[in-house]
Amino acid sequence: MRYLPIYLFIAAQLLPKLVAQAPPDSVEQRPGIYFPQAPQPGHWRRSLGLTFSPAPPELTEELRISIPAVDFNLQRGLSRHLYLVGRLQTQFVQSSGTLGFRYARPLSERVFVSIGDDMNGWFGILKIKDVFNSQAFGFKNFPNVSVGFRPSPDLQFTLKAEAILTLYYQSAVGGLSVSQRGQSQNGYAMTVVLEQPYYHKRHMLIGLRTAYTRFNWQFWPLYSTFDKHLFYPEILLHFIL
Amino acid sequence: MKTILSLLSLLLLLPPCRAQFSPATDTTGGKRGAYHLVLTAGAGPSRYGTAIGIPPAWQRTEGNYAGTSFTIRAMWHPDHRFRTGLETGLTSFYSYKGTVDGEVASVKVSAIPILLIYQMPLAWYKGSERSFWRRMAVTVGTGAYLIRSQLSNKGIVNSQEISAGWLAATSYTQPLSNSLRLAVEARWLNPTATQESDFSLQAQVLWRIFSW
Amino acid sequence: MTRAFCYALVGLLTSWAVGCRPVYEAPIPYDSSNKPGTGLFRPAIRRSLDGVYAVSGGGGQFGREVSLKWSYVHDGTDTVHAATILTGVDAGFFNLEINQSVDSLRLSGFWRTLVNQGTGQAALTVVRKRRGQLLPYQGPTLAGDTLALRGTFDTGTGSATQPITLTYLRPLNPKPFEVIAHRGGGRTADLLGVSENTLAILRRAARFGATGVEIDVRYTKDSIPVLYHDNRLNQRLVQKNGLSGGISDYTFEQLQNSFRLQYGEQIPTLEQALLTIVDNTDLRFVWIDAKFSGPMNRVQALQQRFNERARQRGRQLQIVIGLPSADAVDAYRALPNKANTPVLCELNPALVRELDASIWAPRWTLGPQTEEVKAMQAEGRRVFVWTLDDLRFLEKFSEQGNLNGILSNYAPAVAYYYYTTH
Repeated sequence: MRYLPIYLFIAAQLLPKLVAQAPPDSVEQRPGIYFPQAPQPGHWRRSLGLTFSPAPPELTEELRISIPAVDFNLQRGLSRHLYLVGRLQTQFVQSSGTLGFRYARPLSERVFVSIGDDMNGWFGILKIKDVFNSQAFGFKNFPNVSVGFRPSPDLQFTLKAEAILTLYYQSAVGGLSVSQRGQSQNGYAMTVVLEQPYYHKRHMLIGLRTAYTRFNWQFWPLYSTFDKHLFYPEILLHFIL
Repeated sequence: MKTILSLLSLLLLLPPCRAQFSPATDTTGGKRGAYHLVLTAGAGPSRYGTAIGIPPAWQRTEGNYAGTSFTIRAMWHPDHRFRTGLETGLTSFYSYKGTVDGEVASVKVSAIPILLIYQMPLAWYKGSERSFWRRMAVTVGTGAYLIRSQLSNKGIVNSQEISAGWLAATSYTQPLSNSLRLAVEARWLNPTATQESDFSLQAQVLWRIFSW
Repeated sequence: MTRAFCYALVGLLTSWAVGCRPVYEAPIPYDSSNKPGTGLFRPAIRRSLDGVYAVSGGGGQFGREVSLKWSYVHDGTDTVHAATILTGVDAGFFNLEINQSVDSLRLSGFWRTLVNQGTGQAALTVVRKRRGQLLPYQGPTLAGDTLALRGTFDTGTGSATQPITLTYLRPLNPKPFEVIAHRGGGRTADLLGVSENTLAILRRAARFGATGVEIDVRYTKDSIPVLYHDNRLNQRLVQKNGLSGGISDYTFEQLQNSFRLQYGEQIPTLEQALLTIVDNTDLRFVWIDAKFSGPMNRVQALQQRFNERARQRGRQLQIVIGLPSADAVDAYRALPNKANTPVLCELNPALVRELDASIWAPRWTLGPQTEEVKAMQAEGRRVFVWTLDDLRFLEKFSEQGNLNGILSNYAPAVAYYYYTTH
């Protein structure tokens, strides 16, 4: 809260530039994945990259693990404002798939917003002699809202807020399994993303997702027992295809 | 640290918004521009920014938070705003001394960063390199710090620790010639596992060694 | 104006999301007097209080059944008794000491849940229940009445006003079983008010419901075995001092001079730890986790010395050396004389048999391994699993009832499932 005057100052500086705006329907498309603007109906958007999420020290203690995950996004425009989003992430022993929708509207030629909801399923299998004979899967839901901003012709800045709702969790060691329904592992996440040209015609996105949650699918074999929100930062690096 | 990053990201929006808007089309059309490989060398004073934690058994203690910072950086400047590269160097963080059981003891701590660097000039499309905002850049780094420490008490113990960490910096670059520039950069180093933070101000020489 | 507000909001949200990493604390809300003596709680009364109780009141946060178990810490001729109530919810427990300032059977202390920061004060008085009415009790005869504890607790408000009543149901499960507390009692991260692998936590282990402890042993540069878990000296365990490296990089004197554990303690030697366990606690099992590299003879000598000391004092205490790795197995094999050196092997069953280890301790993540467990037990060995903290799996493993012990950071939860089993 002590930074409020700084934010208000920045907002006041931005305001005059926001007054002049183009009719929303004439706003052009630029390559992006997180930016809350619907692709043209019937058009696809895709990106491929890596994410890096260091394990919380509460779980791995002195070990600092950050196993990269391959991350693929696919989106398709359904109408002028509505589009489907899909995402696959894998670290090979564990993977996650997401399918959802966004409803996006430009507020001006610079400012865009969207709301959406994503259903997520994940699973992992870990068999290491004398160490692990474990598997787990689960379902999550991510209601989300995004605000996008184009401060200049080449930059697209997106802030995405999402709730993390755990719908179902099941895990097994050997022949022994446990499951849990409901929302005891909930949390929330904020994602800040910059999308822009990188070299020649290739665009890229770089972002940081900060999740505060009791459970993160990438770390299911660590069997977190903390009933508290742990901090999971995740760096996103993608080429927009 | 995160608050500073968020402020930086918002401040990043401000100059482009004030300085330039807006071609109506995608900015990647046409032929590609020149790519450059730029080497940077920098040095300057540094100041350690968090508590140093002198052991309670030590007496008559004295801490020194001031140090020096050296940097070598290789950056790829493509034909757009976003640049990437690698950085290393050496920063002396702090030292302290005191007495233990009547004998003089001391600790020195320094860090070698090994970071992936992302850099963006605040303006890109309008004006020339004479534009102030185009000479200003924001830099962020992620990677590892090799934290080196030395204990002098009943013998010498040298040890080192690898810590994940961040870097945030802002710089002003003054062109001298087609391939040579001078810069001044304010930097903040943040190895997270060892809970360190260090501020430094560097004078840097940038040499565009290769273009294609 | 709307958009200005929107940007201010975006900024605030960003700052809130990435800048507000929570710091968790769970300060103990009760100052223990640690006063020696039993007051009105004579041995017969203490023995009669051990048992499983039904819970009424408490708003569900302590479950429907709890178990109560007494423990003590012994200092020379002084003995401090404490009652531990294990709740089975969120690895919860009460630690209650005898209130000697009142003329009744009254216990005062605090409760805590280990998976989060739940804590508060509590005070309970022993009463008897006759036809639904709670009456004063002075012990020891009950004449057909039922024992109960009645009192109040709070949830960190500082004012213990919420009522709770515990009514005796049955004795504790008598089947032999070891509740083994990890790292001497629990992790530093569980905010227990003391650091892991310290003399202070060893003295508290029984108050967490433990019957035994696991301790991690490494050698200093001058070959003194000390208690420390991690490979590196880091700020998870030691207070910031700028130094790093491993335990074996420093002499014991350097460690004592320049390092303090997170709650201000010094790193203890194995000798100090075993002396504390034998002389001061009622623990009956010690698992020395051999995290060191190098010869095992110093640790073996201490094991044998303190096993003998315990025997001389009439203590039913077993100290075993845990072999977690091929290096530790090699160090054990290199011992010139393996007599009176009981070991626990964490590796595969074939190696357990080859070494003739008295205990097999596989990881819990391999599952129940029912056939292998039966085979080991048929050969006269005991089987423990480690380090089982997931409460859902802990309940499942406990229901199976075929293990001889469980190592956990949540000793209160293991003890709850063990003691309440019919």
